[in-house]
Amino acid sequence: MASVAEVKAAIDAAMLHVQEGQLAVRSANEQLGEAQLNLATAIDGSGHQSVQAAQAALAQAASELQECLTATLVAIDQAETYIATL
Amino acid sequence: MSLIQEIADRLRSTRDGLPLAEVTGAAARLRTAQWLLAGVMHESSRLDAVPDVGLAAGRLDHAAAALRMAQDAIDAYCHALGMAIGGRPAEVPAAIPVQHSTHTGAQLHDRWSQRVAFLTGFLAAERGDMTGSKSAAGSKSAAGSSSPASSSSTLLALCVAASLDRDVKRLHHALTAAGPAVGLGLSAVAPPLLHHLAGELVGHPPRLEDLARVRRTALPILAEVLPALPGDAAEEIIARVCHAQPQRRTAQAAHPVDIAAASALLVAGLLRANKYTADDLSKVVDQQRDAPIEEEHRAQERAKSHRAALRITDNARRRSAVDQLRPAAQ
Repeated sequence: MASVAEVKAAIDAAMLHVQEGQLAVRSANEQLGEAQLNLATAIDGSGHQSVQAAQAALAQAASELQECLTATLVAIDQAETYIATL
Repeated sequence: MSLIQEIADRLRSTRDGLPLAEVTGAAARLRTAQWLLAGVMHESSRLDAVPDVGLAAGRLDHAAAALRMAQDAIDAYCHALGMAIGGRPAEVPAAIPVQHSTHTGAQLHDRWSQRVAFLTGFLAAERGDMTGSKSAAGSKSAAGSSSPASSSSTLLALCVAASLDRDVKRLHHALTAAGPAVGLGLSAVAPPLLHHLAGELVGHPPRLEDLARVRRTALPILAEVLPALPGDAAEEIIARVCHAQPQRRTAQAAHPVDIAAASALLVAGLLRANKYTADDLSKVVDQQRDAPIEEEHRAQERAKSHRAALRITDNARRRSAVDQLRPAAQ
C-alpha cells in the first residue's frame, strides 16, 4: 500500500509530464498556424478538392490540439483538488 | 524557377513543417503521465477523483491523424498538378525538454519492468540478454527485437511474434525495453485489430452471441505464454470486442501492464486461430485499415444493382429492390 506522500509524489510527477506535454502542444499549435497561413498563400484561389481536404484536416488538427489543452487544464485542476483532499 | 516549381517548393516546406513530431512527442509524454496516474488509481478507492489525461492523449492521436490526412491531401494536389514534391521526412517523435522531476524516468521504467517481470517470471534486471532464447538465433523477428520498439505498433509486432513462438524471454525483453510510454500504447493499437480478427473468425462483425466462441479461441494463448497474467484484463478486452458488458470479478480495475500484455497476446491468439503467422500481421493491419473503404465500395455496388433493379417492369421484384435500397440509402 503506497503512503500519502508517495501518491502525492506520483501525481506531482504526472502533472509535470502533463505540463511538458502542454508546452509541446502550444509549440505545435504555433507551427500549425504558420502551416495554415503558408498553405493559404501558396494555393490561394484554388478550388481543388484536395486543397479543401488539406485545409479541413489542418483545421481539425487545430481544434483537436485546443481540445487537448482544455483537457489537460481540467486534469491539472482535478489533480490539485485531489491532492488537497489527501 | 518556374511558378509551378515555386508552388511545389512552398507546398513541400508546408507539408514537411507540419508539427507531427511535436504532437506524437507530446502524446508520449501524456501517456507517461497516464501511466503514473494509473498507479495512483490502482491504490485509490475514489477512482472518479483521480485526474484522467487519457482523453487529452486521445485528442493528440486524433490531431496526428488529421495532420497525416493533410499531408496526403497536399501530396494528392501536387500529383494532380503533375508536380513531384518528393518523399516525406521520417516520423520520429520530437524530444521534449524535461523539467526537473521528483520521479526520474528510471523509476517509472522500474515500476513497468517490475510488473512485466511478475508476469513473465524473469527478473526485472534481465534486459537485453537474448542468449539462451530458444528462437532468437536466425529469427527475423528476434533480430528486430534487439533494439527497443520505438512505437506501439512495432512493439505489438514483436510481442505477437514472441507469443506465437511461445518465447517468454523475448516477450519479456520486448516489453521491458519498450518502457511504459510505448508499452501502454498496446492497449490502444490492439482493439481495432482484435475486432477485425474476431470478425474474420466468426464471419461477420463480432456480436454478443459470438463472445463464447471468441473467448474459447483467443484465451488459451494467455495460459500458454503468461500463466501469471490475471484473466480479468483479457476477459474485459474480449467482452468489449464483442460489444458485451465486461464482468469484473473484483472491484479493482485491471493493472495497466496486464491490459497492455493481454492485448498483445489476444492479437497473437486470434492470428493463430485465423491460420496467420506473425509475418502476416502487417497484412492484417492493412486489411483492417482498408476494411471501411471496401465496405463502402460494396455498399455502393449493392445500391447500384438495386437501382438497376428499379428499371425492371415486374412490380414484385421492383418492390423488393426498393425495400433493399432503403437501408443502403440511409
